[in-house]
Amino acid sequence: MTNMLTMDEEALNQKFLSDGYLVVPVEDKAGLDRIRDNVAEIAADFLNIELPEDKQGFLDDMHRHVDVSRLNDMRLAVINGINQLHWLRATYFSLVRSVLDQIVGNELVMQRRINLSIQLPNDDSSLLPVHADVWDGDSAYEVVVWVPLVDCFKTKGMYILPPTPDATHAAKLSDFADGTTEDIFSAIEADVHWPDLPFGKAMVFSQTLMHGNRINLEPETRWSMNCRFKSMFSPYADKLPGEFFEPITLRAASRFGLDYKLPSGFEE
Amino acid sequence: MTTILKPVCRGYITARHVRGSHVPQRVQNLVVRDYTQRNGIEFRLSEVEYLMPGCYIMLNSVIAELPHINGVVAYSLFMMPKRLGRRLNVWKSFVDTGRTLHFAVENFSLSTATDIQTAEDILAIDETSSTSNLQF
Repeated sequence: MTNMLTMDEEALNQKFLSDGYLVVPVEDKAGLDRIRDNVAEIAADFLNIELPEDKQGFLDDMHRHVDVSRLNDMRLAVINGINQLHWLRATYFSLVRSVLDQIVGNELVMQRRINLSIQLPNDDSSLLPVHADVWDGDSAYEVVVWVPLVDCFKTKGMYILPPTPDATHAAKLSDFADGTTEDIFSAIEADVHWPDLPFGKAMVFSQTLMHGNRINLEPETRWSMNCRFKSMFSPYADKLPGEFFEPITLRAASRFGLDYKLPSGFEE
Repeated sequence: MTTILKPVCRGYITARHVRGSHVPQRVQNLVVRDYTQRNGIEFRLSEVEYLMPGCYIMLNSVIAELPHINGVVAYSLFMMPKRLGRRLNVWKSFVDTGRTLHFAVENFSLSTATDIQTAEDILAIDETSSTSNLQF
């Protein structure tokens, strides 16, 4: 295959292939601030409390305002609230647009609904056990854009297994047929990475790799968002266009192709 | 006034087809959440069974969680293991610990030996009718 990527594109692609993820500064910091501030505002509305000036501090300290029994209701209220903001998805895309262009493509579909995770310190009720999204019915061609709304580090963030150890462990996954996800995590724990993700950075990762989170042992609440992107014309799995994905960067040549119909009316 | 605590149950949905049909996970979750609301159950976010056929690692994981919750709400009875021995072990995990395994689509719950018989009867009838090629 002739490789016509630029040197910068090649470097970024090689880094993604070797690590399975990229941590990058967001390309639209004002947009990220706007997302975080709106999330904080909707959460404050749900809790019926006055929104403090320090939005990030408010989110970090959420465990002082809400307990586990109300956490999921608040999460759903915030997800529903932010997904009604007409600018949200375009802004989310703008955070990493050039990175996606380089490692995924320039004709993209985007998950229709942007997800939100909230993890209170020491809360075991909303953990994401070790998994790869392909095991949940996602296409192997998707990437996840994971954006923290607070500083995320150690167990306040997420872990991911890089490609080389992932291949080794995945080949032995059926050894755990009678086991649990905890047994799998014990096996991979020494090999996983815990990327530090301060507010202002985003992570793009391949969800074919095992990843998840653990009980947040830091004294602050984690807030993060995630959304899947893939090349428009790469293979789909159970998550289909329409119900799950929406085209966002259809180009003119593809428009011609989609609209084209061969002349008809001839008879043998 | 005494506060009555709601039973806490983990949702359990699947990435695989159920009875030959693809049901989006979002739809499975809606059915599970509706069941929990109608039955006064406190819902814990669903775990998703892996796509690989014959894999029940996520089911094993929610069973391992039983000491800390009151039960599990599965999307459907027809997500359960096909192999009888494995399935009986699942039933036993609930009955022996006094926990309940709910099935949202079938609006049915399993917590006793009688319930096990009912579940096995439903599965057996379905198996028989799907292989008998009856013409109606």
